[in-house]
Amino acid sequence: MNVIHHEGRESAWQRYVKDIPDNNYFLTLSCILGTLYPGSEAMVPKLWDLLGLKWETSTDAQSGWTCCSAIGYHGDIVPIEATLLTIARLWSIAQEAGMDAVTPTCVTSFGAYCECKDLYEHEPGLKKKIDRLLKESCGREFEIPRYLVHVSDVYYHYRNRIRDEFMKFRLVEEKTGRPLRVVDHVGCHYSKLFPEKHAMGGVDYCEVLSGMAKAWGGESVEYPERRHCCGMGFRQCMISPNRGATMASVYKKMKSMAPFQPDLILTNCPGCQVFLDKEQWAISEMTGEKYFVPVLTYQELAGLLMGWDPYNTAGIQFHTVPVEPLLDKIGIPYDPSKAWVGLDGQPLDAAAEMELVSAGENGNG
Amino acid sequence: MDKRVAIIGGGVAGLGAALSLDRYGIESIIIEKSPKLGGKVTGYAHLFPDFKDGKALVAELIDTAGRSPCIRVLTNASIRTMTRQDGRFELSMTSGDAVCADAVILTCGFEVFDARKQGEYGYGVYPNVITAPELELFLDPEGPTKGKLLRPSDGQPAQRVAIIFCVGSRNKRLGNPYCSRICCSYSTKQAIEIMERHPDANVTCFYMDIRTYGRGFEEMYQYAQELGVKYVRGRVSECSALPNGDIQVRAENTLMCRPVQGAFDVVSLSVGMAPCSDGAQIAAWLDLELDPYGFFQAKDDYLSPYKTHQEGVFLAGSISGLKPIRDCLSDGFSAGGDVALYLQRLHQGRA
Amino acid sequence: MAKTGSGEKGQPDYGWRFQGKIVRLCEDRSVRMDESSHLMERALRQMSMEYFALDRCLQCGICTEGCPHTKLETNARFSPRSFIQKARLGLLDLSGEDLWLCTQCGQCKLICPYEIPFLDVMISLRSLVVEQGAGYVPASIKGVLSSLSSAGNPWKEDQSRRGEWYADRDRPGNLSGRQDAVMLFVGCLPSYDKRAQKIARAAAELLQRAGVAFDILGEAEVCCGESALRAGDQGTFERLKAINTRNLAKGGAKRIYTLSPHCYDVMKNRYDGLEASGCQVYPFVILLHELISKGALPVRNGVHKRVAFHDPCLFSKHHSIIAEPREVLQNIPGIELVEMEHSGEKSFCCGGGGGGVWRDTAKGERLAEIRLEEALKTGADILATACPYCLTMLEESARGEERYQDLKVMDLCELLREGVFS
Repeated sequence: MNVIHHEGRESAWQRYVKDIPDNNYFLTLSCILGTLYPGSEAMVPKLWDLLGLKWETSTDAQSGWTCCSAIGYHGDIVPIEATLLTIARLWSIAQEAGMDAVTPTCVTSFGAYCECKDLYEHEPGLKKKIDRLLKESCGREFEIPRYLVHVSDVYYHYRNRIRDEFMKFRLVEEKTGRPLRVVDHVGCHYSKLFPEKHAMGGVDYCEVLSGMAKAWGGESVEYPERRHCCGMGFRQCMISPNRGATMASVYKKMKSMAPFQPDLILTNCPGCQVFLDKEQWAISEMTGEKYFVPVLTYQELAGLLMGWDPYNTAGIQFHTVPVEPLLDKIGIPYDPSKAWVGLDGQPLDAAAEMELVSAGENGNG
Repeated sequence: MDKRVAIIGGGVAGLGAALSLDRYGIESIIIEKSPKLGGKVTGYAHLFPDFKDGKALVAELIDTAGRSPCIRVLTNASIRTMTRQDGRFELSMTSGDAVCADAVILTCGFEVFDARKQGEYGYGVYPNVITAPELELFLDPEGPTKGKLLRPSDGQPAQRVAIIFCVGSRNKRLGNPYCSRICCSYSTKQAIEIMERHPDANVTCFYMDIRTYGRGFEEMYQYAQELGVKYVRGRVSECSALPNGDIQVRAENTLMCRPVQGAFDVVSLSVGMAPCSDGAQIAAWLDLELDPYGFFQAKDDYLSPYKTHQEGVFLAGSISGLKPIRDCLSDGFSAGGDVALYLQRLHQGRA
Repeated sequence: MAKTGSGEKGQPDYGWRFQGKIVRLCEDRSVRMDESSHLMERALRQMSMEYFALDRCLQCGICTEGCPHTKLETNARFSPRSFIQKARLGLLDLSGEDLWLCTQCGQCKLICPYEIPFLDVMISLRSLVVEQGAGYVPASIKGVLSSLSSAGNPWKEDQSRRGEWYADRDRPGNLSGRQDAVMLFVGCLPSYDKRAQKIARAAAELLQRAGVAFDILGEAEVCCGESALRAGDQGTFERLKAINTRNLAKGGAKRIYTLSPHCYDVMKNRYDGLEASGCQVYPFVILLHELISKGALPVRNGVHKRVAFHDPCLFSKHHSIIAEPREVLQNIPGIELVEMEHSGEKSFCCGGGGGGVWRDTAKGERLAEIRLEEALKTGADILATACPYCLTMLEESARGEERYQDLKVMDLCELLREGVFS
């Protein structure tokens, strides 16, 4: 169905190949991904250990590791100096751990790191100023990291190894052998801010996710609104009057990709994941149009194809658009009764759940 | 006199220079790296603004040059190195031959912008996105499709055509901030050709400014509109492919302050021009000045536009700045006169 | 799908809610250039030979500067340049209001460097909509057109009552053979509208005082058809024209004077039958000017007021009648004539032309309001005009507004009458 020149497509992205290091990653997390799609981030350490990679993160509550503050910067409530400072502290923590590549799971963080690095390069006295402020505020020192790498870059870098060594399933329709059609949705702050320097494949034909899809047996869909933002944007999604813009952006993308009959949407940005997933329901409520294309993060997709437990490990029960039909297509087995099960192994009961919650609020939990 | 002139580049400027020198009885040798003479104009069935037959023009020039005993032609000839000794130019060819000359006219022309650099237009990825030179091929009555415009993806006749102006020109990000001067004109000419042959066609030109100036050009632009060519002022932001191969084009119609969107059978990118690829090398050999974009600097744009700062080295045609074909030809003819005067002085020992 | 509106308690709603409550889904505002826009462009092209002249448009925007609508700060904005651009691309939304906002004042045509026949284009497009059903026609216009067609006037009034305002006077009967005789073409508003009838009566009294032998067609007069023409209803216009032409010829007078510039314009430019029967048509103000110059109409009473004259568009922009009304006014002793910001050829349209007088325009979106402000700025006591439409538009916007309570809107005839009769 795609009418494109494949060789042309391949050579188009190869102009922007990013240098991704093999090791020494300092993992930083997203503010929202862990809450909304808990399986994703939990699987990263698991996979990295499996691959035998050298990586660190900080679990020390006193380290001062916080949100990178880019959410506030993009929401117009935090000035750039504060973001520069917060990120400088993060980098300092990473460097303390001896890692030279800071790898966030969040694309907003990634974009913010790239922006900070770019600012340091173009503003002569800025590094000195932030050095001084960092020293004064928490006694730390920092260097600009050698590598700014997103966790999806690491997955991309190791996609073949993951497939060859660990994957039990492929992105292929089990019954017919047809490669699944994957819509790759790359976060704007990954590909569009510094396309030549920091995006694998540049911005027009960004390769980081489609490379994974292709390596794992699927095919990437080239549809008109491929580069369109999901519409999340902090100022759009967080402020009630503007939220229509977010939904409209998702709606536009869904309408555009529908004729290509995609089997799933692959994302590498937590924000995109949330909104592409949840707005599909909102759109169906408002307009009656059901698209219901499952949206997966690359971590979830990798985990599922490796045969990890869809509910306990990958956490697909948290998705708004059901993922089970996709599992059926691929032939990944799952037990629906295990979807909502408590710590005692018993299925969760809504009423009991509420009791637990209120007990917790009264300090009895 | 026994002086000889080397003309580097066998396009219309070079041919014009050779014919001009021929009038003075001065020997010249045209050195052309491709297999044929005529340069880019051999690809143009019609020239603007009067739709004169480009191929016939070139054929006439080549024919006249061929009948002259003063003009020698070397095709498939690449220069390995060029030096200057005692006022004479020594050209050492890759074939092993050596050419000596008392003066050199540089008529190397231009290169066409590589449209793949502007990734958002999808050239090289979407089959129905073509460039203007490819459109010329389609529109050539003697070309591969006998003048019919077809969709490359499936060979069906193309009805809805979009022509995007300023591809690779006036673009600081892509490195060519200048205007390539002739794209508005050739694009309008192509639009006219499409409409004249396919009255039901729907041609839309997406432009920034319309720079069709010169005698007969404004009239050509008005004529295009009378035929029904639509002009939308706004730079195209991206082209994407629809499932059936149609190309979706998005731009803002800045005159209406609204975004516009359309699906087209074929999108033609009016690519800009860049200085010839051999320019830097030649400039190094002859110690010549180039402007920041790589075009050759004349000694004085007003009073000595065909001379360079090096005695005996002359310029003609697009090598010193993009210009319409008429101007390239007149450059060639005029440069010939300058060279003749120079050689005469040499001959009389007064150079 | 629910749409935005005002929230509870009439407050503007900024909330994006859900589950049946107020939501906001932004629509893609892109204009689509597709098969239908291409077909529309073709249709527009073929519709009128003059339309090809639009190709000359350079999109320079000089027309927009002159258009009165661009001075309005509301959403009812009409940019002639943008209109032409949309028409040329086939992106004109004939289902929208835009087509009917134009008052056909002609300012754009006056200053266009390429002489684009804007008004003819407007009429052609409206005819596409009205006669071929290709788009939206406001209900008010539809009503007027159907009334003109069936009753010969815009209000479905009785034809027999057309001359009622003059019923108590002696009619001279057939005027043929009387070289000096004059036919007064009254027009619909002065015939039927209570307020505008005062203009007609003033005109009649002035003519009587000047001893001019004149008559009106009375029942034999129908609408001049200008409203139909400007709304694109060629058919109705032709029928009305035929009736008037025949009856005016029968009326016998060789000189016809119209009370309204609209009647004058359409009869001068498009009533080709009139000249064939040896009739000449002029605006009434020209007759007044002539009479005063000849001394046939002595103006003795002082009117000590400051007067601003509002040039009707059809006079100043279309027929270069600028000096005559002013000279008439200046003959009234005591009058202090002042000029508003836009006067003469640049006169600011009252909004009544092109069907504007029949449409309802919300307060705050009216051109007349801008004009009244200009009048206020001059400190004028009286805003005088020479067109029943201008009078109607200006008075209606002034009525009930405290700001304008000291500004009186009057027709030239009424003002002159004050100077003539004690």
